Amino acid sequence: MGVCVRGAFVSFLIVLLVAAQPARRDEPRPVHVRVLVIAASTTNNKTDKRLEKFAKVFQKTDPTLVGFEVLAELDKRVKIGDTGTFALTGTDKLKVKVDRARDAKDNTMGLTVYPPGSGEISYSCTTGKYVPFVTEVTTKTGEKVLVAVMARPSENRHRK
Amino acid sequence: MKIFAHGSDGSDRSYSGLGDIVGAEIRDLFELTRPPEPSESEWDRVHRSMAESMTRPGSPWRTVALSVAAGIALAVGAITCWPAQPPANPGPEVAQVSRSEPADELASFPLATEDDVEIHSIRGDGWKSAVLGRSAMTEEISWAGPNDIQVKSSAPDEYYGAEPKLSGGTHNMPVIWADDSLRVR
Repeated sequence: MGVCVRGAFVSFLIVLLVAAQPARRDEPRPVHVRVLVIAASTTNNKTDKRLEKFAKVFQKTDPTLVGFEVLAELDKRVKIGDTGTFALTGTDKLKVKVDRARDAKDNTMGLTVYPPGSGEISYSCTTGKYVPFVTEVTTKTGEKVLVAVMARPSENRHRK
Repeated sequence: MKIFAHGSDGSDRSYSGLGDIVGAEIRDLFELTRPPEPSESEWDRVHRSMAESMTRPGSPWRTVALSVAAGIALAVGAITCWPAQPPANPGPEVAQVSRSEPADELASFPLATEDDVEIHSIRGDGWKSAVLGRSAMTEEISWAGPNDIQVKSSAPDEYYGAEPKLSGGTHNMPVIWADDSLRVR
């Protein structure tokens, strides 16, 4: 009788331990979201070499922009379905929601971007590529603030 | 020295020393209170039962239960201690400026092309912000002409009872009217 009670208690403890284990192996890993904050000038024609391709794209929408500098590179890990907030300048923030994890078929991820002062844009994009957006925000010195958003799956730190 | 003493049972005894007097008293008391000795057969029974208990094999069910419990305990220990992915750092509420990696200092940022981006929806003034992929959203709308539509059937509205009408004539863009002012009262 005593053995039975002891066995039941041990079994209960084991079940409790197993149930208490977080289901971390099946849980989708957070997505690595990176935001480039770019200052575009209509007077200073100096352009960061890393932004030369961006400059051509932005100039299609606004030819008066002649100089492009990186103000900040912002990193954040965002869970699938969650929204990450990225401080641009002053109190202006860019929100990025991760709608969908990477689709292995076409290597794309789904995001929704909420530029300050604008509505929202839901899109899917190839992972690891920056998608440029125009904002209505300006810096204290009058430069137009542009952003580029990139998302990619988080790296597995244990497989280096 | 020899001492004569009168015993408690009325007998007279002689002792060869003072120490024997005390010893005799104790021996008398011991004899009076001595418990009965177990018999030889009883001692044999005790010895047999002790020998059996020392050589008796364990119950097979008990062995199986202990093995299963040990296996489960090992499995739970392995699951608990296995080096899993550390929980992701949720980070601050607002992302901060990251350190630039040395490789990034020289490499250009990978820019998406029109083929990489597919816009699913734009709400509010979001179209002002979109740079890539907007061509698919803002291309000119081509309306259907009078010859593009052929009405095959129609039915009155279930609630209002109004019959939908197609207007526009033969030259204008056809429009379907569902006027609720025509509802049957």
